Amino acid sequence: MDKKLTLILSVYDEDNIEKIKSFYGEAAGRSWQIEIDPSIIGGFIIIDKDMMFDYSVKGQLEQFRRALLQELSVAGAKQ
Amino acid sequence: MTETSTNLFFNKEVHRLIDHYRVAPKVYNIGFVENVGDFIANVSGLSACKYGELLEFEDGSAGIAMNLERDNVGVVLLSNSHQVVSGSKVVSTGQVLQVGVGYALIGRVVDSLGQPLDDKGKINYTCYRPLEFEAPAIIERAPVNRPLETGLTMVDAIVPIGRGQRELIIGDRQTGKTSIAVDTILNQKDKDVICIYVAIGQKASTIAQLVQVFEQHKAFDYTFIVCSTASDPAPLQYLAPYAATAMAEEFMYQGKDVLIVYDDLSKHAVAYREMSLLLRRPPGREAYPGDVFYLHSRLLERAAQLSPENGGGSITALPIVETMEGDISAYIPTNIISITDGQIYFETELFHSGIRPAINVGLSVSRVGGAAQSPAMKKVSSKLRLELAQYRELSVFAQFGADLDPLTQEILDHGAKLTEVLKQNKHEPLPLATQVLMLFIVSHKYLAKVPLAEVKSYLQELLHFLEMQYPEVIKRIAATKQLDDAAESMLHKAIEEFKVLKGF
Repeated sequence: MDKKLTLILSVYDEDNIEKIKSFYGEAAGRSWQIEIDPSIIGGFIIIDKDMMFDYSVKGQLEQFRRALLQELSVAGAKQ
Repeated sequence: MTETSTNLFFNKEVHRLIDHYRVAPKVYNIGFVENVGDFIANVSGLSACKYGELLEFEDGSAGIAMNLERDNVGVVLLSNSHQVVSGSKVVSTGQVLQVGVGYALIGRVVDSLGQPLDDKGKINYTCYRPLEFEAPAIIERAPVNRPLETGLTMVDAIVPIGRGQRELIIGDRQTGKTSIAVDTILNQKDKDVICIYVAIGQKASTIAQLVQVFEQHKAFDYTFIVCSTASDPAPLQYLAPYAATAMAEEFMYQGKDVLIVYDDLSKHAVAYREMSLLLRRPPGREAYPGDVFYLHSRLLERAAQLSPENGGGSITALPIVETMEGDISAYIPTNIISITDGQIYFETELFHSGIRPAINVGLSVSRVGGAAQSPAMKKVSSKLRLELAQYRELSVFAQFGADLDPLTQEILDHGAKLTEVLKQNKHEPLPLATQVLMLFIVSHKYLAKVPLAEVKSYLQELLHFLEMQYPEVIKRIAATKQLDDAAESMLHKAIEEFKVLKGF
């Protein structure tokens, strides 16, 4: 089993990293790989094997963009 | 709508969405591309991925999960993205592939994903449907009993097609298979039938010609084309008929009648074989994968006549299959023959001898269409198949030059004239009443004394005479679709009158 967990942050912040590590309950006994990716704008992403927990600003903006496009295309067509 | 009011509308919509939008973190199942090539990617991870699930690559391109193995997933790519490379991240979406449906499609030429290929601008879809959808259950269906007139006398008389039927069009290349399907579409003008032509693996120039034909005959008022050309990747060719059927289902479930032409399913099977071999699925007969029957059965089962409680809509499917050297016992032809409700078999020899449509009456059959045939057509065409079969059989013996008795000579003469009457030019479908009149004339041996070379012109003159002098008979047949005793006696009288005028 892959024991490594990946944590992606926009900026390096030791306090936040510790908080996130303690927040993620499944981390016990597993090593963390910290990556810095400014493109996520804010928040963080945890990658655990093939699951990705996206708490990033970029991810949420992307979700909103999709919802907006879908709603607007339907509303526009109905209009 | 002016530009300012459009902007105001969209501003209002955006504000409404922002007000109601709830931000929440999202959990994704992800994987990474191990290797990619020929529109197939092997992806590790994605342990929660489902068969047929839509996957998204990090460059925004999409794929479909087609192979689920213990450690990896075989993904079919839907676009030729050069940014999908080894190591690219793949995210599962939890959704299946959907395609835009609705009236916005009418008059358009679109690809397998519903994107426009013509120059008529963006299509604003209001509704989406999944490409793969369960076929209507038995309880939701009604018997096929309404005719779908093709306008081709030979088909409407001998192999009638009903709404909701699946009738296979089969034959070698260049025998007129596409023409018959196109003529059927042209004949649906003002008949409240929405037509879909699905081009699979065809040349773009062929599609361009077809577009021209539809434009010339104003068929785009009720027709659209779903197109995946020979240059498109195999996955898009594979998806085209499913996408078109999803589009057709939207209309059917609204109670509309739809005609869908799949041109052709042999190329579709070849595209699926290519995809399956690239996915490293084990090859079976003719290197097709084991599920090639299911590939077509699940597609054609979606054609149906719905019961009145379910709206009464229908999808009539005309799949086309190309044979090699007339071999209808090959793998794909036999599969589709067994799935469909009959077949129209085109023969190269007939085509080259000038009999067009080059339909082999002996090998063509419509298993359910008889119940849908109009009473008038049934009355004049009941003996047609037998007469043509007798003619074909006797004409073989007649070739030996033996002396023939008068009865045999009469059968041969009648058969030759019948064949002449059934010949029909491309893109000239005939209305039901004209077909009934033609068959009435020939079946009552009114052409017995007309020389074979003059049959067509004589018939044209006679039909013109009937149109001019007895229009009420034609109107009556067209309106009631019946040929009652009164109409029959009026026709006999009219034809005798014409014979006197003509001299024979």
